[in-house]
Amino acid sequence: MNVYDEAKLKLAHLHTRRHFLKSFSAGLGGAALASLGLPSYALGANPLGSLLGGPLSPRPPHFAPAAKHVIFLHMAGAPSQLELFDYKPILAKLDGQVTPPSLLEGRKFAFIQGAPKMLGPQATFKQHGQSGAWISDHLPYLGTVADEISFLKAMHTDEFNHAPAQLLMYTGNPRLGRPSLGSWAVYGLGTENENLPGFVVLLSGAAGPDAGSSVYGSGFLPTVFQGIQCRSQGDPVLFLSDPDGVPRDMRKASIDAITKINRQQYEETQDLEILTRIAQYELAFRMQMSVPEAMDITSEPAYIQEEYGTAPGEISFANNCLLARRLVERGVRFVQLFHWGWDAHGAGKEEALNYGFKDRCKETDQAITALIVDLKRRGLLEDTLIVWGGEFGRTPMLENRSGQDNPFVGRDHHSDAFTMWMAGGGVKRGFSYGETDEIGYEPVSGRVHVHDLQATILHQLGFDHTRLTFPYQGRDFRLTDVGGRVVREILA
Amino acid sequence: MISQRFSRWNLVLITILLVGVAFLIDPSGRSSSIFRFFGRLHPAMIHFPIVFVIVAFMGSVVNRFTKSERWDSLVHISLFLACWAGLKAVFAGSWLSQTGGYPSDLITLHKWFGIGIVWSSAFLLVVTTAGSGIFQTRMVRLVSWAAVLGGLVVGGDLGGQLTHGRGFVTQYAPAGLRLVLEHPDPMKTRFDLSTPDVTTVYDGIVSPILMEKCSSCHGADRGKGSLRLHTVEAITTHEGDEPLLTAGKPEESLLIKRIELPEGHEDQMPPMYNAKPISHADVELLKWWVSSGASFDQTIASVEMPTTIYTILQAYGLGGIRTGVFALDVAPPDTALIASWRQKGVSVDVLAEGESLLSVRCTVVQDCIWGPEADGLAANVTWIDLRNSDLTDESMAGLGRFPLLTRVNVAGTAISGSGLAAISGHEYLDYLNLYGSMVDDNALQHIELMKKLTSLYLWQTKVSEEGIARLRSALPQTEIDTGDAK
Amino acid sequence: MNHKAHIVLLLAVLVGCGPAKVDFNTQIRPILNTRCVTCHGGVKTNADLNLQFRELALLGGESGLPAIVPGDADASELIKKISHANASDRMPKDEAALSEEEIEAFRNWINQGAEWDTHWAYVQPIKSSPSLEANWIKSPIDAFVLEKLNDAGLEPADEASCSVLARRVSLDLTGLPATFEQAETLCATGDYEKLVDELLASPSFGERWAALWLDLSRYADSKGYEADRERSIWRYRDWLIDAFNNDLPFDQFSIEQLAGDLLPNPTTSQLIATAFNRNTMTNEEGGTDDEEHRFASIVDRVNTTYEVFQGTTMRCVQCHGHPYDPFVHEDYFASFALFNNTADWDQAHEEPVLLEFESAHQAKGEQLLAELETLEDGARREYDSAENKAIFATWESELENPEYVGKLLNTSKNEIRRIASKPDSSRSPYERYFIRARIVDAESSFQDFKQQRSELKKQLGELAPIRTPIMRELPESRARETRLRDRGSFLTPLEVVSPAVPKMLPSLPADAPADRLAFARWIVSSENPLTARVTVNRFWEQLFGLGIVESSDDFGTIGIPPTHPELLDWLAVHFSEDLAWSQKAILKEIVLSSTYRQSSATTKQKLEKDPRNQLMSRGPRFRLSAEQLRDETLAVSGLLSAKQYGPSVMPSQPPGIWKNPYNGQQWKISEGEDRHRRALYTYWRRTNPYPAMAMFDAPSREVCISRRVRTNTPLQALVTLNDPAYWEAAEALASGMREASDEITEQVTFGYRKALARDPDQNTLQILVDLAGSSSLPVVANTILNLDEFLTKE
Repeated sequence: MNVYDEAKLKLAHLHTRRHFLKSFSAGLGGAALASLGLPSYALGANPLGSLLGGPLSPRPPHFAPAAKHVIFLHMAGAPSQLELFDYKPILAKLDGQVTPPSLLEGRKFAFIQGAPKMLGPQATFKQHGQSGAWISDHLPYLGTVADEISFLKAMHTDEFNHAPAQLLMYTGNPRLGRPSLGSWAVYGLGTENENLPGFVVLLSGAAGPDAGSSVYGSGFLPTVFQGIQCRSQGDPVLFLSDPDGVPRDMRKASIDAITKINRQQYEETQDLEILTRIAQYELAFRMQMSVPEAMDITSEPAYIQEEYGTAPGEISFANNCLLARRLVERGVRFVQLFHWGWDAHGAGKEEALNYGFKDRCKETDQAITALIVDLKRRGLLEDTLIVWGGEFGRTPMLENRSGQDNPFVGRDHHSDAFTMWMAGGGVKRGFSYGETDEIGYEPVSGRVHVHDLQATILHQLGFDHTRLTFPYQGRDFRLTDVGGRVVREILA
Repeated sequence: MISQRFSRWNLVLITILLVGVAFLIDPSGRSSSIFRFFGRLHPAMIHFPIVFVIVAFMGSVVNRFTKSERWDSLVHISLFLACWAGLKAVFAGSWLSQTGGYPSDLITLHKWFGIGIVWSSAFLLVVTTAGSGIFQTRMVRLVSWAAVLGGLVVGGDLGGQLTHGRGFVTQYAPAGLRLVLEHPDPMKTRFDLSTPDVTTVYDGIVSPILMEKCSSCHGADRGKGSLRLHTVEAITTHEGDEPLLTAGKPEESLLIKRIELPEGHEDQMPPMYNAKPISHADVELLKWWVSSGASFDQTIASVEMPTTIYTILQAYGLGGIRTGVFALDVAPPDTALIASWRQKGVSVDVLAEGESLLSVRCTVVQDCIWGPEADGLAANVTWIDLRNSDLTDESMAGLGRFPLLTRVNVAGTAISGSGLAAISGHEYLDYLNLYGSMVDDNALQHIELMKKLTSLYLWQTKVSEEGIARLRSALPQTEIDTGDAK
Repeated sequence: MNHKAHIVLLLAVLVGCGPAKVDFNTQIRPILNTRCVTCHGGVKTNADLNLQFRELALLGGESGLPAIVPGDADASELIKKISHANASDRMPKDEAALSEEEIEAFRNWINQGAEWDTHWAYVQPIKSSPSLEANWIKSPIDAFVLEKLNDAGLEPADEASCSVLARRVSLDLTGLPATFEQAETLCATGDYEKLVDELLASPSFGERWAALWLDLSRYADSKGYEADRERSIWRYRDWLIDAFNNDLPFDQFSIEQLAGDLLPNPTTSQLIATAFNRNTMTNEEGGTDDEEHRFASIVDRVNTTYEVFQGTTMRCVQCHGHPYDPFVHEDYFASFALFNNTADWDQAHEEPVLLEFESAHQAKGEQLLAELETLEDGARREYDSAENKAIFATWESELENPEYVGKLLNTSKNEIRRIASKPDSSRSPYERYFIRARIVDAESSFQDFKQQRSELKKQLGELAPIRTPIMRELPESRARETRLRDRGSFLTPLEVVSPAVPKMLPSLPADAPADRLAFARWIVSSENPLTARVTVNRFWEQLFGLGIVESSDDFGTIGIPPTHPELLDWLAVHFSEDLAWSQKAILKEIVLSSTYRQSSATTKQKLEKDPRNQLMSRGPRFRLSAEQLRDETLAVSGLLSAKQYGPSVMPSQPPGIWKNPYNGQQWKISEGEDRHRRALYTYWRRTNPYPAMAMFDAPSREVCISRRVRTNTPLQALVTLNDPAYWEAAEALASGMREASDEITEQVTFGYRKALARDPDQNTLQILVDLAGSSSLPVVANTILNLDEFLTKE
């Protein structure tokens, strides 16, 4: 991977019509690319340009899909798999011993120096469900739905810094400039409910993801596919509500006036761009109704609020989980949640394994379990693929930043072995794939790279990840870049 | 006018020269340009021997009919000229072949045909000039003429293929003839993977490997080491000190252990010295068969396939495994009807590129169950989503018109469930979502008949506890979700 | 005529009517680029056959047979392979065969000697004089355009109405719409040139064209990467505005930005100009390797310079030979070497910086600077002095003894660990100096020097000078060596490379040292075939929406060929020679042409034959840029502040946008007139660009952006309808309308005139008056500010 990839942000490099027509066969069939809402003059008088079809209209994937929606739960900061799912009794025995140098040779850590000590699991584990999945006591609720989950115990990635690792997880490349997973999904499939954004992002925790908005950006795809961040305070989508003194009827009247005058303008100038603009203004008007309705969780009955543990009016992960179910129910294609604060180095109390980390588990465990149960009983879990995970794992050693042990208990970044899980969307239930060695340091079997995970998610949406491409600067780019293997072993 | 002795000497001389040409060819192809020049004359020169042979043949035919020998000398001279012109053509051909770039199998075949023609022309000369003796008999005369003429036709065809490509002759041949003449691509015909949900793993994959790699010694005619692998009985009834196959445990199956031994190991099967070596892919396929139970009746589609196996079989032409409703061949939907349905606000599309099955979604039932579009596309609809639509028990009867329904979602509608009778007989129905509808116990009689259901959602419906228990016993395979956390 | 003559005649006839001359660039190269070079080119050279260069193609690959034998197609391996009968041996491998015509073209081309003429963009532009005469022609530009229109059987459109033309040329030159008065005077006097001169002379001209260069130079008020902390570099924006307003010739404009610091005693302004390449990102994230990110910023400087000034995708060549254009891997790192000797190295303080003091502190500041200068020189001199060499000799050996190096290994600084762990023999001079300095730092005798230096720096800080990162060259003794990198990776250095420009382009002058200054002069020298073309093409693209070369950032073989090659060359030579690189002059020439003055109304025939207006069969019509939209809305509503220069400002923005975990900086909405400044002054943070402008395709400027793609989404409608900044403007316009008159039709006409510098037609007026009846005046104003004709330049 070259060190600095200058791919342009927010620039779809429209080559020639020839290039564009070629891209029909390379990436998408049919009218999809033509109706990208791109300036029609960029597409030439392209017979397929259906203006009112719009770029987000639903279109078929390569083969019959197992899932129609994705909810990605990202735990920003990298939760420790050794305290949640990857039960290592032998590591407990080694607790406190100095790490043998053989484990450290040739290794580059973010902060560990010299010879750190081994750190046993800081949680007690139990087996849950018929599948007997090992889950720690930090996640009491999740155990009740263990039989819905497929664990990937031998994930690995190439980056050990937060921002590049998050970029690799969501855009397939550790540097800036590539489209995110959600953008590829909406570019490929469109969305079922055109009055709502196709790709919604919900943030919680003290801050947004380390890599900023690029992890849900559209990269070189047209901006219409970027992730729309819905805020739980103020306007869910920026500038959605009308200014004071402009009630709905007035806004309707003004948009009608705009449409009439623009239509006349079109008669004079024949510029196809005007027809697109007319359609977008009407769509904006409809979104002003449909987005707030979808985002208003107070309309849910009390028992649902209790099940999720929501806190209406505040920013909370539980609220976002309930919102995720409501958005998927209304046809949104891809919902991306970020919860920040899992970076348990042990340098400070608010992130230490025995303090901050436990709070993160409390903030998320109940809501995630409620989300699975709620989707299942509504018959939606089959069509919705839920993915949980961080951007890498944590070391079996206690972190000793610049030589001395950290004041609190914590682990350093570890890119070679960590755990993620998936549920619904056609993956096996009550299953685990891949194992790590006795101390959770190296994967032993069933290794899954981040690109493999992406290829599997796209496969469940009905795509051959090598054929979902976009022509840019003389090359057909794809999410999984040059790698990616579908992990068939976890597919039902 | 050519004497018998002369033609005999001519035959000997031609034979010596031909042998010289046959073995002096250096295929590396880096000959000097003068050879290239003569080589290039080959296509021109081959026509002379052909003409001479035909003239000779006509001469002998005329002789036959007019029962005279007037044309004999013409026959002899043209055969003599044919030999020497043919020889020059063979020399030129050998030089031309040295410029390389020709497929090796075709060129050797063509070369030997060429040499054969020239030799048999010389032999024919001997035959035609022979007064008596063995050469005089009709039989030998006929055979040698056939050899020369037949050789010319086949040699010519091979030459054509060398210059214009393998499929040159058969390209536009009628299908039947082409089947006979063309040799199909080996990768696609080794295993029978066309119907994965019907063909068993043994018949489709294992048996072809065993027949190809093992049956020469362990087959019907030779039971080496009292082991035969060519039939199911032979395999299952074999007793030896070690079990040939242990279901689920390739490492404890002799068959697998012997084929995994390293190169050159004296017990390695197939043995180094005579049989064709077994490829790594074949070993993997056999291990997969044994580890998934070494069964003789499990179909390919029903056995779980790890990625490595799937990639190998894909290379051998395994398409997507199409089961259930996808295995049927459904006529492609009428795009005009789809377009007009969309005008009515119905969200309809094919499930995937190139599929003919449709998924339909709408909230005004009138639009998507009744009307010309629904009639025209009835045979294609397989997923229908009528969540929170204005569906009623009466209008639900329309669902009966979609024979291939697999997923029906009528959550949040005001149906009591009597309309379910319309789809209780549907053979492929596997997902039924009644969550939040008004369905109650008297709908159970219809639901019980849906034997193929895999998931049924009854949360927030009016079905009683007993009703649920009754359903659970009637549909043991179905996952029934009533929403109360387990 | 005797017998022999007949034969000669016959031969002549035969040869004479042989195939027409095959043109390499239009017939052969496109096939090579799309069907062969992906496997036989700079990136992959299967069977080590490279078809990118003539010499290599003649050489052939592994088989040893020449791929091309000029004059003898049949002996050429290439012909044999592409026309090979049998699919498995035929080229292109496992793909459809070339068509009969393509094979025929190759055969004729080779038989005609296989000339491999260089790509049009790498050949000097020649100024041809157009032959066409017509009264429509006001300048040679029109002649070239008319020629192409006649070929296509199209008629140019008639001239746009005076108010439309006034609005168009004002938006193009100054980024602000024409006032109703300006349109009135133009309609009255018809003196279009006077209006153009007025606009060229106005101070807002510099601001409009500086905004373009903020994209090209990837300007931002933050350092990028994860922390993305604040950076003060706005002085560079001021320099840009002045350079355009004073019409600094483009060659001087380029030299000062690329190598202003190397000019003989450079002025402050020339130093500030070098901030062009200090816009690269700085990584302050804990645990990152500074040298790696210094390497990354040099890579970004090479890529950006070649894209902006040469329209060349040099970035591809970092990892391998260029897939299509004739650049080899070594060319990349030869250019890298030109940039590799600057003093900055990915530090949070971003030194070297230029300090500018308020006049009151000017004297004190300079005095402190002088003191600091002498202190550092003294230390350096002592450091390098003879008798110290002996002391260092002992320390030199220190470098060998593992115990001491072990201590160095243990520092938290990656940089030191990396160099200390290398055997001394393999360290570059710069690295040996670096380690030695670390040893010196550790020695007490230099502690007081360091203590004095930090004291001086503290005092300087108290004077609150303006700090602007600039370029400064390392002295010869500490010059860095540049190494070729395997697959472009920082981690795999190969052999040493010396600074040079790509072999395929004219080389640097031999008499001067090969440094950044020589490179800057070479860029704008008359031998360079690209700079003038790329620059005039960029002007054309800004005015007409589409460049003569549509792929304005890629003039290479895979880019799109120019629609009017002669026009492009004429403009390039005219600009760089006759007008001596004057940017105002070339812009004036273009806007005065009839081509530019056409109305943008089109006909069915034109939509068919010239759908994308590549032939300029009518005037340009496309959506305004994010900056033009905001400035136009503020100007029309009277809120726009004319204040120029100065640090970036923070206009109103919804709360909660800035939530960076490592940077507590908050968005404090600016007070007073700073709230309504022109868009180019908006504070630009890379991880959270200003939402209203990001919605209209403004880039986040992590990398250089040559072209923004204009999109059309519902979120844009929401911005212009409901963004508080846009609503505030609607209310201001409404109060203007109320003051103008109290009769509704006049109020509406006033508002429409303010917005579009012309009167509304009867139907539009009626619609707006009805709307006023059923809603409020601000809603009518807001509606006018959302009409397609207001959001679009036509």
